[in-house]
Amino acid sequence: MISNLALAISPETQSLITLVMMALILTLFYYAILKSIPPSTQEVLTTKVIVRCINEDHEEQRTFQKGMYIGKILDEKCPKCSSSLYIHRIYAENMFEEKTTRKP
Amino acid sequence: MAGLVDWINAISQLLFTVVFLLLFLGFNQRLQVFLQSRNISAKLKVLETYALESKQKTIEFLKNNGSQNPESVFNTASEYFVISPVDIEPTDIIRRLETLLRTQETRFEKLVEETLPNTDKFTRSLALTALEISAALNQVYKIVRHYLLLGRKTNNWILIMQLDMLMPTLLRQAKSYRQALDVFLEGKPIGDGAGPLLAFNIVKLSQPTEEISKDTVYYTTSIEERTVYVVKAKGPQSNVGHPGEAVEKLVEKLISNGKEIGLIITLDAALKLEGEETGSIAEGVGAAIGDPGPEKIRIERIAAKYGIPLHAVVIKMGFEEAILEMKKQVVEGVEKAMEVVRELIRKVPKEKAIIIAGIGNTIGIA
Ligand SMILES: [Zn+2]
Repeated sequence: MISNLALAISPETQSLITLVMMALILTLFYYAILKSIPPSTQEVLTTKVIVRCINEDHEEQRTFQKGMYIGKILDEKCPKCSSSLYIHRIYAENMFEEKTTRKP
Repeated sequence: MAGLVDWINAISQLLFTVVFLLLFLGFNQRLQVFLQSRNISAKLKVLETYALESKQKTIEFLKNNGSQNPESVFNTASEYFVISPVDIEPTDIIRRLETLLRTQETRFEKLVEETLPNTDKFTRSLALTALEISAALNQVYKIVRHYLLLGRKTNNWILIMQLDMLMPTLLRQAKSYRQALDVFLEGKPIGDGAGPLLAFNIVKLSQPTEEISKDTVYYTTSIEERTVYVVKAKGPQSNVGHPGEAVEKLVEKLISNGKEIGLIITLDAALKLEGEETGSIAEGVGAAIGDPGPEKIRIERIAAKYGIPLHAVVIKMGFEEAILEMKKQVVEGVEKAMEVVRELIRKVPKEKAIIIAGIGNTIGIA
């Protein structure tokens, strides 16, 4: 082993060096394992509901509630032309702009 | 001091020799299998949590809607199986398969109808989907557990290794199923609803002309001065309908009324490749529909019978995006797909009729 090769150094120092090197290798190994785990790509989505007037002259945003569906005609009237309002879109949007997706 | 160093050297030499010998005796593999099976056990716990949570949620949903026997309904649904038809003799396999699938569908619908007698179609469709999702999660959990136990029992390290390598993918899919349950129970539109959304964009708030086959309706409208028939599953309940049968019946009906059909377009969500963008669209030929076969073949056969060009437009998304809440990119993709549809329609002579089928689960889309 190392003690046979390095003649000029005292055996105690050699043992110490061996221990330090082993510790170093273990640390590097552990670091490599940590690095190999891909970072989680968790998205935070919020549901948006777009309400429109049937005459397409008014649009507003709502929060989602149970019972809503695309094409549902609401009881409320349009503030501009007082025709019916309907749900135009329901979709999820990422709250933070797409930082997580990396382009190759 | 020198004595201590000698001892350290002697022990380390001995240790190296022993480890060296163990390598030849397959110790490394055993260690690996031990570590892997421990890893699988940990992930199996997660799968179990998903299965239990979804079971609890489904049973709760059934109970809240007036079910007297939610446990037994859940057990029937989660242990339900379909025996695939004989395929070494393929004559009318598609009809046999269709019979089996329809039987299953009716059985499940009856099961839910009987346990929730005082509810509307929307709630029943949610219960049905919840049962399907939790049954799938339960099944995945049981199968993984089976292979883990089998691998341990028979000391089959190939089995354990394969399972360990599959676990991340399985876990990811199970997780999206688990999340999908919450999305469905709230009745939000999902990514797979891209086809029905496009159909809705065309017909807007108009009333369907007819429910042409079970849970499937068609609308009559006009685009670019041509008569267009739009087929879609009946919403806003969780439902994919029978678009194949509907298109077939519609074509036969129109032709017997002396109309000529110049084009059939199917629109569906398609799985994107990793690296492709969500909501990107592609045009192609054929019936874009992801059923096990019976619906798809009806569209192909009817198009072939009358020589009608069969086009497909797909909106691409990932597996998770298809079963979870519809994303903004998908909505934008649907708008882009409409342009492609218009482009295709303009190439058809004005006197010919056009059929557009929006394929997919129409939950949350009227
Ligand atoms: Zn208005």
